[in-house]
Amino acid sequence: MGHKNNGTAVRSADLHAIVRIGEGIRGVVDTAREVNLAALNAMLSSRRGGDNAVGFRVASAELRGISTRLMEAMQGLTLLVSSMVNEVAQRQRKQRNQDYFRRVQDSQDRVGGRLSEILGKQEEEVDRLGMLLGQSRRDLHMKASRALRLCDQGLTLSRSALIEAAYGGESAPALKQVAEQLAQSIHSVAETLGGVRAELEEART
Amino acid sequence: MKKLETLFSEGTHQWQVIARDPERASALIDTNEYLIAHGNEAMLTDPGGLEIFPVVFSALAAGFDPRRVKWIFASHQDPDVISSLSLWLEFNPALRCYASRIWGSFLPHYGGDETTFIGLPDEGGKLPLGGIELDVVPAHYLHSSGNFHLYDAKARILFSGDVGAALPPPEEDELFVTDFDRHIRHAEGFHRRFMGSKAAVLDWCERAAVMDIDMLCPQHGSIYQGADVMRFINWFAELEVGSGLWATLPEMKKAA
Ligand SMILES: [Fe+2]
Ligand SMILES: [Fe+2]
Repeated sequence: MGHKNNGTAVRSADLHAIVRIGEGIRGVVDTAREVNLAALNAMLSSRRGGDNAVGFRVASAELRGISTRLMEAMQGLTLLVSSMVNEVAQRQRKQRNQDYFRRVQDSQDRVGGRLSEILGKQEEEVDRLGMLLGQSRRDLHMKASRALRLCDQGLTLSRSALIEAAYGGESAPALKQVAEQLAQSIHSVAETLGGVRAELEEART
Repeated sequence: MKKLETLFSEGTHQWQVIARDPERASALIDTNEYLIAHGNEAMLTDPGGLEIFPVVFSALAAGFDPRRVKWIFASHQDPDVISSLSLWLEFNPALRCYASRIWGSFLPHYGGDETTFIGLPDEGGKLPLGGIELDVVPAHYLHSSGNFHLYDAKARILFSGDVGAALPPPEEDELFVTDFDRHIRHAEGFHRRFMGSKAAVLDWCERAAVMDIDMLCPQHGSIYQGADVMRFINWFAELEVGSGLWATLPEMKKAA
């Protein structure tokens, strides 16, 4: 009875991909929180720069808004990911049951009709769950793309913060440092989200 | 490959065993499944684990219409007893499963819902089967804390779950015990370790000793028949059990 499940490797790959996506999302949340804090600090430091730093202050405030929206977007992604875990687990269970029923040898064909009915139903259910999973993947891809566009806006803002920092008078070096940190954090968020999106594209093929 | 063999047959009243499988994966403990039929109904005892479902089902379907199986009797909650439940339910969603009441919220982890399980009270009782009645015999703590055996007074057969179970080497693995002394060596370690309570052993032995039993049918290993049934009961009554404690309480071993 050394039966091998051919689909096992493929199926566990599904779950692994979802776990990696989930990790990516958590990473984005952490970094977005950092951005949020750094932007707050930037706003406070820019006070010391006086009226000269008003441009910088505006850019930082907008960056805070963007990081908040990013965190909110990640909540939606997290929900999607947990429903995907559920769908993958259900599909795996169905496929496993299907394997067991395929291994039944009905020598007398006594219950052949009932068995093919069960296999047919299992097939339908596996297909249905596969479609749900595909839908969730597309949703996730769309949401990740939207979040990436937020990052683009964030990057633009952090660039203008960097420019505005130069007008910060005495505080200019400090503001520049904060602006650089912001740019770096947003960059890393964008990278992680890009990775999530690539993972989703790969899973689709 | 497992095979269905008849133990008792009188009109529509039948006991069959899906005997052990010499080709099974060695990591899985070998099991006996018993099919009890009367009239148009049938009950399957301890249908086994997920992994062996295909062979159990195939063996059953080769000699019996599996749609006639209306009930499953689970002696206790172990995976080798009942983890295939979800697959049996997939075949027949109307199937009902008898088991100790205390496992009511545990067994659904294997599948099934509130309509699947019929909880048996500690004192046991009677189960109807196509016009006859089977006796549910309490065997708690042997080894499971919610454990039942099944007695058919007409066929004089006692299904005894893990009690009487033996793990003989393949060359001595036979359907019926032929040499009690040789056989029981393969049962001793299991009973010492898995059975935890001397009081439970004696309670069961007293109950079994007054029953009229032609065959004592365990879930693992050979079936005891004739004089070997009473030999087993006597052997069990004398056995010191609870050997898991000997590792930390060596003085208990000296007492044994
Ligand atoms: Fe057991
Ligand atoms: Fe067992």
